[in-house]
Amino acid sequence: MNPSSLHISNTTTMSETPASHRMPVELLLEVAKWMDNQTLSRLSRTCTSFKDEFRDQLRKRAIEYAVPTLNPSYWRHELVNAVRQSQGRSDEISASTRSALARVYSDEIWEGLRPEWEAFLPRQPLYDAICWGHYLTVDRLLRGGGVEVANGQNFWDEPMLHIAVELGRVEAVRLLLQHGADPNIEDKAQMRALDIRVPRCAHAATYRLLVDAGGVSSSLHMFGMDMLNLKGGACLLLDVIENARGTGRYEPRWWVILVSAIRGEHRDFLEEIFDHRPELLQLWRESLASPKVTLFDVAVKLARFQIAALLVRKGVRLHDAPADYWFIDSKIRRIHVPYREVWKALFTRAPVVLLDALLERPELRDYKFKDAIREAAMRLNGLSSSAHTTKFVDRI
Amino acid sequence: MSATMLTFQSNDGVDITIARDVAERSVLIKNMLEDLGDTDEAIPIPNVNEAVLRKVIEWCEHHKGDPPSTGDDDDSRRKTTDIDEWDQKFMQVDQEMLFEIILAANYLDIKGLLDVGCKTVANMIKGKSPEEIRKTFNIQNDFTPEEEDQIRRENEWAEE
Repeated sequence: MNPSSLHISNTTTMSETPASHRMPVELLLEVAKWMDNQTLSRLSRTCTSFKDEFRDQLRKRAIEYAVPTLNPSYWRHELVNAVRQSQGRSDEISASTRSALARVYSDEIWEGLRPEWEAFLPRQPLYDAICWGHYLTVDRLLRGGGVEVANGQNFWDEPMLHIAVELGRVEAVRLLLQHGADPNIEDKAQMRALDIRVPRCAHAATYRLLVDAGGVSSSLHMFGMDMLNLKGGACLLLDVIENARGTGRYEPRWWVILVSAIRGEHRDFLEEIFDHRPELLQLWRESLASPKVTLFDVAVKLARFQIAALLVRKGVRLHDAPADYWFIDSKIRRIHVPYREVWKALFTRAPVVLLDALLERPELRDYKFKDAIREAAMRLNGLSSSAHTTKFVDRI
Repeated sequence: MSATMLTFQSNDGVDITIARDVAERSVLIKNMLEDLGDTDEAIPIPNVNEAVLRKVIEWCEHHKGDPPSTGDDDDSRRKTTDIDEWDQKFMQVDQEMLFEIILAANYLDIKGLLDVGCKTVANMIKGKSPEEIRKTFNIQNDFTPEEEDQIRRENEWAEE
């Protein structure tokens, strides 16, 4: 069993060379077949030749060990052997058993009997280690089996990555991805890891790992909606959109997402989105009541004045007001309000923070009547029931 | 009618006569006889010496009534490294002879004997550390410390 013998063919004639040194490769592999995993791995650790020679076989065994599959050979080896042991070695018995098991193994029956079958299935060490959070074991199994183990599935065709994500096992997700798990692997229902609702505690970290690995959700829109309430959610969404570039997926329905963010007052989300995608500030929709409804209009209508102020500070477009948008101030001056947004802020009695944000806009740098506007706001807030105010409010 | 006794010549020139049904445990010889037809001449076995050939014949004599191999595939094998008592005794030979028997069984295509030989080697290694295996088979450790550490880490799963 000297490594140098690896290149000697079995047709070599008898010689003075010891037989153990003349073992051809195929015989070494034949011997290896009878070794358990531990013995074979230790033999492969003795020298580089054996390491190279047994690498493929060990990799195959590591995969079979970590994520055994229920192929027909499982039934033959496990169940048919059990029948043989109980009834004697008879080919007739094993053939009829095989046939019965093949019928049982049809997808329809299999799916229907899931709970009953589970107790009789072999353990999948990778699945167990992920479920129980035994990350050292997860790491060991992945080091042995590599990418094929990382992309392994349980007996119900659920990828291990999905299981780790679903259970919120962040470290398992990291290890699986590190060993080559496909972040976009799909299950039978074409679900991807980023489509799975992650337990709250593991939310952001899990999504970040998947996104950094190139993950794309099968629905960018649904993913976007999930990101509203998540720290760093906006960046995750933008990164997923970047990952999806070139995959034929459309951008999410931004209007719906942003209106939801405004309604839910997800300030951080909005701030991050507009920092990276300022053009989204200018989204608008037509409605029955108005030919053009902007995000600012929505925020004001929903009385989300802090968010409206944020939109203003981020640069939402100000729209010129018509000539009849004026009021009479305390000095009996006719004050024209230059922008519709200022008019709205003034006469919806928005908190001063919104009016301040508007009056600080560059477009209003040289506007002479800022004080008159502020004074009017104070007056309106104090005299909200007066006929004078009602007249203005009707124009909003 | 085929001859009941056949003579074989080892590579060191010794003639050994055995029953045809014993010789036909070897698929190589069985096929050869089918091609050659009946013969009274000694059939040369160029890769096997007398001592090894006699051991192989001893095994074939003992197992001549065994049913043919079922052809089970590899996965089921490593779970049953049990060797029956007679075979265990038969394989109590020095390491050199053990490997000669394996080589001869492979050459002569005697699956049962090959399996017993391979199981015996597998059992010899079982439970030994890499260093002990090196000593058993006189293997030179040619790993760098880094390589050794890396392969140890890759194979940790097998130690569970």
